[in-house]
Amino acid sequence: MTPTAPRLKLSLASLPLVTGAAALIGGAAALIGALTGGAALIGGAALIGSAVPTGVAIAQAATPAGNAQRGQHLYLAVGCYECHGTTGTGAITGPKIAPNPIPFPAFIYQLRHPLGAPSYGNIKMPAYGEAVLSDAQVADLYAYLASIGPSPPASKIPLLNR
Amino acid sequence: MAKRVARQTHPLAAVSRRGFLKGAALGGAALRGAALGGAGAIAVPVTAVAQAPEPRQLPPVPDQAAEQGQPAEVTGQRRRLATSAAGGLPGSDYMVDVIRSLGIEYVAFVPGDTFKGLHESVINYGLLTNPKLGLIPCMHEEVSVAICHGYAKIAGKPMACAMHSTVGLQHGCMALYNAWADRVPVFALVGHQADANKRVGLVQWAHAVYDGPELVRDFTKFDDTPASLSDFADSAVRAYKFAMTPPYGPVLLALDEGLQENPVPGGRAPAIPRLPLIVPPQGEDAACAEVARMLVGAAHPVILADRCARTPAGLARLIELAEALQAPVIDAHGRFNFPWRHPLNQTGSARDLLSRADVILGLEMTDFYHASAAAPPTAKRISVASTDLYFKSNYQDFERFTAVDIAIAVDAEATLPVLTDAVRRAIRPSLRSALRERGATLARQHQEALEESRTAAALGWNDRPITTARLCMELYDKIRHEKWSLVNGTSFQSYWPQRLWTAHEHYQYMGDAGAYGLGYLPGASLGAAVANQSQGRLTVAIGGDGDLMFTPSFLWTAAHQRIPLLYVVHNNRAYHQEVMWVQVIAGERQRGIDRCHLGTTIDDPYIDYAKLAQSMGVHGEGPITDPNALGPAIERALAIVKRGEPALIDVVAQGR
Repeated sequence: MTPTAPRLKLSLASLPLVTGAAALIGGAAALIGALTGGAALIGGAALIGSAVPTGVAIAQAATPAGNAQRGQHLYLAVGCYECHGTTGTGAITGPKIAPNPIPFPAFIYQLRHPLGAPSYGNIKMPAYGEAVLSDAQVADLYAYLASIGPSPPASKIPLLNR
Repeated sequence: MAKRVARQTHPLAAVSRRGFLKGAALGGAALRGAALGGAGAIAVPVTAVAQAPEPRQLPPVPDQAAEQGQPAEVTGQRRRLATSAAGGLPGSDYMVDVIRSLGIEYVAFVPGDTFKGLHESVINYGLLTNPKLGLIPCMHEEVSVAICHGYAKIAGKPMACAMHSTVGLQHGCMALYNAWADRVPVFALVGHQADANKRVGLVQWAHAVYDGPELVRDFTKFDDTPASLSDFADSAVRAYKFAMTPPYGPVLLALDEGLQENPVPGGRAPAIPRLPLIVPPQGEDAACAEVARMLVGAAHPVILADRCARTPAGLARLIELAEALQAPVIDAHGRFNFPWRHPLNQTGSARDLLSRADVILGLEMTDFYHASAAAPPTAKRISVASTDLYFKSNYQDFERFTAVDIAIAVDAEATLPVLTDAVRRAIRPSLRSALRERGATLARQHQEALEESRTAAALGWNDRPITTARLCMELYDKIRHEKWSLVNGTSFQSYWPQRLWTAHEHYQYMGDAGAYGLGYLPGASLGAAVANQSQGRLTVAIGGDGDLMFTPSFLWTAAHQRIPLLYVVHNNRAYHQEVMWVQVIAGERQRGIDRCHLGTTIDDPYIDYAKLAQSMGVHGEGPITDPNALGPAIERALAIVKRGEPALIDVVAQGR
């Protein structure tokens, strides 16, 4: 654990909340259940474009309850936004992680033991061990990502269809 | 081929000014043709004099009232004659003639007393006589060198910059390193005081150096400190020749103050050497035939291109090769190598294609190793690159060693026609249907990648901070019917322009800084805008806030010179790359990963870039945080730019 609560340097005023942030956390648990059916291999890693070590299994884990608002605070404070964008859209620096985040077991595994080859600028995703991000905080982060609503489809955006 | 007759004497010593002016205007145009003509030459037409800006206001002089209403040339003539009467033909006037004999149209500089002789000659001779040597005043040498850097990539020829001895060159040296690493010609000059007895005080001693160019010798192709005017002329032509022979690069001449300020000995200026037609090195037939055999025989050939298209001709030649082979082209974005919406442009499918590649052709690759890292070890690699011809050891911008099967040390652009001919000869009729099929598959793949990019661009479309996809598409929407030229590297915008815009002209993209030294884009975009202005093109740049704060004074130069440029600040309020790097090391050490903003973010307070622009006479708008406000702001700024002036808008946007 960090000795003090993570400092939110980038204030919510300067990085306004994404629309749709009020979605329920319970949705995440439902998603995990639907996708994993319980015990999960790190199949979710495939969703983020990483090689999957065979035989690595994660104990069955339900999606813990988390607080989306705290999660957004953390998301900015611990730097997730730097590579994945402030709403998980992804960029050249990191893949899309919201909406519809990968199942929680895969999510927490990826945070603790990042997979995937170095990408942009040969920067590899940093590890977020328990010393800097507790399981409860990870749950908050996950709740934030799960709360992010969908963007308008490209087909409905005139600037993307000219 | 145009020929140039070397002048035997200084023009003013031989003919009347009026007569010279008429002849020089014609001669200047011919010179440019000679300098740029030939196989590897830039086809960009260059107007003789029009783009050299008129001085907006002549410096105050004692008899200013008498000058009012007089044409600039007459004013200049009178001043010139007065100087001449006082001390004969100044050496630096001759230097101006040598410089413009090279087809150089501008010199950018911050004033410095070690080149005051040249400075005076520029303003009282070069600016007022044809072909004009235009002056671009700057407030930092990093800007003046970067202006040359950006200008050369669009104009296809060097601009000159002058720097003060020691401190001026020290300010400019990082920008020279960028140009060196980007293989761009810059014709740099630096003042020099060899005679210690002429150093009148402590400042002159502090600014004196025995061997000034040594500072940048590791990253310039050539330097010299000529001891006479004829030596200067020889060195200038030699420097130009080196700068414009692939691999291009910056050159530097140190100009002794005495040489600048003393009259030409005997009143007769030395001859200026002929400027040769520069023919870039071209691949040998047998080697090209072998490469063609490998490419045609490959099941999964891939073409990688980085700084391949030096000129518009290079772009057309790479299209011919790719189409002959129906092979995918993966663009490393060092230049505008390949049309962004060409069906064979497979940059978006690079990893997939490389993972199956059996033969990879790398054209002027900077980092062939990482660009082809996804390929199997069994894949054959062929390098065609002029960088093998000239390199230095200390600075390591030659990147990681790449094991290749064939290395052809030539200019790739000049070699493409030979290679393409060899490919066409090697294709048997029985192979044609397979090639067509491959082309059709790649075309579908290009379309799929485009659709995937559209889907990705929609993510967070209405977010604040504004996504880089939204930023790029709002900008494109406003410029897509213009003759636009995007002059920034686009990696910080996640390559959205390449992924979604349509571009097929060489001038529409010119790559990045070379060595990624911050402070590049402000000056480089100005230089590019100067080159584009004469061609009626609209210059736009998307630049980071951190980059801007290294060289913000470019705004004053833009306003002062009335250079039309739309500068969009991609304001992520950080040295964002460094935030990520610190995050990596903090991740390894597992302590305080929430503190990586310290020393990396640009906040508390935020910088108001619109006000910064306004303070220097540039239209500034922002900070724009509402994505729906972006389009109208771009429109307002473009109206300013189309009037011939610079404009800046500050967009608070995502990191990448």
